[in-house]
Amino acid sequence: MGFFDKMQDWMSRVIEPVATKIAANNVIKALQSGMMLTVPISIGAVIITILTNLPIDGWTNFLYATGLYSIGMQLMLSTLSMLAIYIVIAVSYSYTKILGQNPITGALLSTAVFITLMPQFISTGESTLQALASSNLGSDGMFVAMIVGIVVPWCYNWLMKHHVTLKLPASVPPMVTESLSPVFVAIITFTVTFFVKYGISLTSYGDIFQMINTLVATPVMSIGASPWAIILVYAIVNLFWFFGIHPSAITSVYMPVMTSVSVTLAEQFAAGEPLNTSYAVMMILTNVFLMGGTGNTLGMVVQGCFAKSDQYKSLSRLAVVPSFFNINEPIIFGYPMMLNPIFFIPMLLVVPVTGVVVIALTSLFGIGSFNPAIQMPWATPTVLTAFLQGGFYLLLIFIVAIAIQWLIYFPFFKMADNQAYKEEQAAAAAEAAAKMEIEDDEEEAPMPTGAAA
Amino acid sequence: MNIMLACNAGMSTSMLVEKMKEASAAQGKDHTIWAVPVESIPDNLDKCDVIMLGPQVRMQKAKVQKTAGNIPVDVIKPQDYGRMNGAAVVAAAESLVG
Repeated sequence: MGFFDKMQDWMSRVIEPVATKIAANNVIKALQSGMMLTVPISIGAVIITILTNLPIDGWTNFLYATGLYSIGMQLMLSTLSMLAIYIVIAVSYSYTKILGQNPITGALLSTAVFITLMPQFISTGESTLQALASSNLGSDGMFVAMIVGIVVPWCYNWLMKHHVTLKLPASVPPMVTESLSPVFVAIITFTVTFFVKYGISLTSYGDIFQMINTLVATPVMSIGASPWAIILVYAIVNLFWFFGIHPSAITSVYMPVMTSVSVTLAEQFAAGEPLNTSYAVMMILTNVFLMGGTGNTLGMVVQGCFAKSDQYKSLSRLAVVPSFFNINEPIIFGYPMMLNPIFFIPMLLVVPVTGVVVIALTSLFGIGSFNPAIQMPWATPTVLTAFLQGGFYLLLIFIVAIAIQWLIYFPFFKMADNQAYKEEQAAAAAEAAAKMEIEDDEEEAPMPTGAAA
Repeated sequence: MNIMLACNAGMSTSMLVEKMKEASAAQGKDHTIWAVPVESIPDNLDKCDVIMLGPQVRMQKAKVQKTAGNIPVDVIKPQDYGRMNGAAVVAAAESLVG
């Protein structure tokens, strides 16, 4: 058995079942679709964010003088920076829906529990203010939001399924009993929340946000939130695609880390603090690895439009426009790159090599005036996102990255194209020879049909 | 016939949907064809006669078949998917419903 056969065998025996389990897991599905639901929130403020941060002196002065700048920043703060509150709503909604209960009840209960668990008093100097800290609604609340968004709907479903509902006398109309059962579930939920909050307040953590951040978020982020981790994740993603499997199992598990990173950056940006460079590089890298779709085939596809072989030329022309919008399934399955030994090496190399180059460039020359508050839908051409986030400086880095990605594929693409061209030539020659033979035959037996007529 | 395609986000399959519509129109057939993310399959079950999965979500076929009940489910051939061969996928869907 060849190397690829062995590898594919291993993939289908070991990886596929695990990947299927993860992708089909209801909790993962709820987190994934919940995150998708919050995309309009993180992207909706983008036009105002771009306009209020245009680096033109006269414009900036005007914004400051009129107070428009402050309003623009507030818009950003209440959307992108407070993503946790939107995440708890969206995740609990999705999970309750998957569990088959009333999704809006699940979302309302979870949001209320999330807010209840938050510290409600903030000491500022001598006075104590009754307020919620925006950091708990943002980066500090991210993991709590996901946990609450799963646990509360789970309990809601469990209580409903086990008929832990209000028993009323038979004379009460069933509709009344039914409308009261969520109320009963809520009473139980909030009573439990009360004791949980009190219990945690007795520990050294004080509140659940501190506790989860110390016990879960800090260790997860210290392992996952580095440019090297993201290179590893995307290298595995490419490996999955090489076997033609959608890597949602990997990306959905990694998504909480990336969301935390981008919300932390947005908070730092809004507060005018210096950005966490390694986080900023991570955000740049996600965009770099998105370029042209999986495997970063953009350069190769453009080259492919002028390929020698019809096979690669026609497919590349079909795929080139979607490629600019980071969709390249036609390439993966059509070239095909999937299970094609020629493309195995470049597909495996493209992420680490480009990643290392981008890390090197950004550590040598810095991240420029990077604006992490500008987030775009994933189907946006990455060079446009790069330009909006970091101006000509980041655009230049992206052009270097595209060039490197293209160079990595170049020799392998040439090999594949030449091979296909030779096959086409051979096929055409064979066809021509066959045609000649038919013509020869026709000459020997002149126009039988004509004679019959 | 109502043909529903599904992949992870419903993005790249929506390209194939266009090609399939062209192909079935050229053959003078009146098929309704659309694409959804795998997540949304349960919401669309009452509308479709056959479900075709993108090859990248082929591992979820068994699970989809379970939710789909009697509705036939199959995975689109990678080559047909990559080359956006609308006619071939329409033919495959037709043969499933038979």
